[in-house]
Amino acid sequence: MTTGPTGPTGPTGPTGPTGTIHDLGYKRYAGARLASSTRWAVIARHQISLAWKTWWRFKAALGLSVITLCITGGMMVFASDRKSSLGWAQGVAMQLIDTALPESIIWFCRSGFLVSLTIGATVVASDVQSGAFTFYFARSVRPRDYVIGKLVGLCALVWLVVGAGPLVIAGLRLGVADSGDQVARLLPILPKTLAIGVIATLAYAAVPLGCSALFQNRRQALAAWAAYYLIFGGMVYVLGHVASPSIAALDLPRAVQAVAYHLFDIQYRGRDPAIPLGAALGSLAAHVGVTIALVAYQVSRAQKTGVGGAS
Amino acid sequence: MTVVVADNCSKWYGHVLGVSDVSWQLKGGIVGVLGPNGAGKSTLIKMMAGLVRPSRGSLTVFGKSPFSDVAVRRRIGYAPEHEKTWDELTALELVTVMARLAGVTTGARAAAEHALEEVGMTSAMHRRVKGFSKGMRQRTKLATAIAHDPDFLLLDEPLTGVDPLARADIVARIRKLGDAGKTVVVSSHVLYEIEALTSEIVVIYRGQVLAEGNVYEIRKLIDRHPHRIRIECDQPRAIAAELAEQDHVARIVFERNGILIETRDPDRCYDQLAAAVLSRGVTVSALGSPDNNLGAVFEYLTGEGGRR
Amino acid sequence: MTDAPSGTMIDAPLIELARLTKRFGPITALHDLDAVIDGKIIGLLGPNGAGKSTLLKCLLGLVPYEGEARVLGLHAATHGAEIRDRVGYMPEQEAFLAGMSAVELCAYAGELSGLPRTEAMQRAHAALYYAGLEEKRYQPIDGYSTGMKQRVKLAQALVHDPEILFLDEPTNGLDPRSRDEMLELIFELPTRRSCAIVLSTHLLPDVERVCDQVVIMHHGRVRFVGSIDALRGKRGADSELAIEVKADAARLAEALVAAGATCQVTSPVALDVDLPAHATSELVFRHARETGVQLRGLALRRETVEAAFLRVIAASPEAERAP
Repeated sequence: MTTGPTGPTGPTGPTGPTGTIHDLGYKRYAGARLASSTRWAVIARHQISLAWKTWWRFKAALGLSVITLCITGGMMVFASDRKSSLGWAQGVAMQLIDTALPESIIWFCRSGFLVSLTIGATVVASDVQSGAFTFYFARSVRPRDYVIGKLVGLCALVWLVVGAGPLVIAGLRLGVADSGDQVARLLPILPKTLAIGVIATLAYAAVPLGCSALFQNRRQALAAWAAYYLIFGGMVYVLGHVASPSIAALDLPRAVQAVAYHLFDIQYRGRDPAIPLGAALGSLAAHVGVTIALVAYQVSRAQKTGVGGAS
Repeated sequence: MTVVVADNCSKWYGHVLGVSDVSWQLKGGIVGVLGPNGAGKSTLIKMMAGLVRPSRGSLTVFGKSPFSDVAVRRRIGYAPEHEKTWDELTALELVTVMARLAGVTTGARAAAEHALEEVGMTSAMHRRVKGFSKGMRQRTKLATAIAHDPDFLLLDEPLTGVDPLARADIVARIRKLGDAGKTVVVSSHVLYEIEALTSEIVVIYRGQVLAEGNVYEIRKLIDRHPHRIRIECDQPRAIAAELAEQDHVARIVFERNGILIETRDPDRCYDQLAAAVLSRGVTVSALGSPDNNLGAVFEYLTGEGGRR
Repeated sequence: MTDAPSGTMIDAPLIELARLTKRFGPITALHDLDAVIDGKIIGLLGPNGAGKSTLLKCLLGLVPYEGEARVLGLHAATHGAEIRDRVGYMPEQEAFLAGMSAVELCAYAGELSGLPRTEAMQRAHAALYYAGLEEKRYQPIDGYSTGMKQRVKLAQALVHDPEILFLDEPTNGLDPRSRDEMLELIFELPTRRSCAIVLSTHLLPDVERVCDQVVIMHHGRVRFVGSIDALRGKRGADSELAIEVKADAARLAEALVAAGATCQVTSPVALDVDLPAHATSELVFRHARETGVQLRGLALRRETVEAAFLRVIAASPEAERAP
């Protein structure tokens, strides 16, 4: 990067050799700087590319989601094909085709949990630990850009796992319909599936993100999220059996499943707690709201303390 | 008595080389240990502190192996470079605990108090370590190392992050410890810190002891780099003319206000310079040797492949 | 477009403070700071707790404050984001993201400072070349040595073409050779990259080596702003000399005192000499020859930056000295 002198040209004369040394000196950046409001897109893009890098982190969850998709879709197509030849089992087959989608939701949720374990629950804690906040906030990144960027990035990743699959299955459902009339009747399942996808995405992106904001250590954040999801979730699920079913709405996957059941008019079987729609939606909204607030609070605090270090 | 004797001592961590075939003796006083990162300084210090055992050969402190002999470890005080402490304790509590661990069975608290006073933490010793500045942490570390009144101190980067006020103070205290008869080994990357403490050094390079002893004596031994003497005056060429005939002069470089002489015999050169100044009536505004210091010596030893 | 020497690029001084005060509840971290700071490489010095990092946070617009603080002519309170786009910060502590290579990190840094993607990528490489990380720039940072990590920190601060660079203890943890190289890099930055530098460090000889201006802070106040020369006092008069000899400083001192000079022996091989009127260094040489003492060093007495710093701090009013 040194400024070199421009070399002398060769002897003047139409056939003389010439030589030049180019000035590789430093050029100031005179272009425009993008507005602060676009930073979130950079952060979101970064989050996604980082997640995609290692083979086991995100891709494993995606793989699980694809497997779920294949099995559910396969069952559906198989049942539809053999409908007519099943005789007494025809009723069961019809029911299967109709319920395959909402029943598969909980499996997609499990893939979503896998994403949250490998990526979501450690996002903020990992940044705190590695000193990334100094990196971010010494620049023109605002706390809200960080939060929105991370959230959008995570939502994109999680949606691929919990939202895209069901949508494909919904499409398949329409594909195996018997007639045009049935297709028209079934059309509402598309927006319903979309809604479930959005709700599940928010649940599995925002809540672990919030959990990661509570801790300054990746492992602690991860452990806490796993404990909350599995242990606390398991506990309230059991409680839902013995006490009011609404308590079971605090278990995230069951809450999402409840929404799916209600939207698709599925009855709860056996002794599973029948979670009312209101409780499910309320629980999800509360989870998402609280965690986003948590993240926003932690990050704006970090902006003040992150830069500068000890005086 | 010789404090440390290393005899063909080597240490590997799997494939990673710590030190290789080190034979060295430390007689006493304050000694500075220098070397590039990864050269083996910390390994050597850890062996002296008894934290690791040589893979081959031996290293003894006061005649015993510090790794296996607990009694000799009690005579060693070690202040490592990085330390995770219990931040919730006060300085006094921390030093007391460490003193007990170091073998002070009775009067640990009094010894800790005394040590903290020695390092200048009299007013701050009852505060929690959590809120300490880097300088205070370094002082506390030093107190931990001296609380059990050891004869041999190992200080690894004791002045990192310390502000200039505290630095002058801690340097004075370390020198006091050396004056009191303790053997002190100080390791640092900041060469002028070592210069402020001592002229005795050990240079570790590529896992071996490359040079040891007095800095200026080592300088004399570096033949490849003749001594440089710079003189600024009003008649540089006259001086140059006088000296150019001398066979010990390897090179004369003309600079802005004077000349830079490279000579293989600095002693004679200084004498002849003085004579030339007086005989030619030259007014000298500056005279000095820019490379007769630790920084230059270190660079000569470890730069360019590290040959003398 | 070629680089122009810094100082001609912008009209406003680098940093202007007027009645700047910052309080954290009952504690006042910065008291009424008034200063105009300009220069090529400015040393920001002060004991721990002097308020340097608080000042930095105010200048970057990260915390609210009372009074005025302007960086490059912009008010920090209202234009914090813009300032941060034009300023680079090399922190003392680790500030990386896990799992990235040096190039990825620097490109990301550039994008986060508002550069378009391709521009950021190009400048990331350029910054890494400058910092001397050409060969290793594709490897993950997690595997870097301390020296390399410091260089990456410098590179990520340079990517977005800042006009000022804040460096916080840039030679931390570096061995003597890497420290030298880092200081060289820093010294060349104003000419090669047209940016001014504010260097915050406890290592005063480093300051002596690279800085032309210094700011000294103590207990939240500015104790000194000005050039290094002004700090050390003007160059001692020609008659004030620091002499080094091979041995027997006392003997030479005796002879010089007899000749009318004032001497103070500072060590067996060094003495301070004040020449009498109309005498030159020739006097010293003559008496050295007569007493058989070999002269090895002669220089005009000049306070070191360290000594000057300690002097300035010690001159703080009594009332503020208690921590």
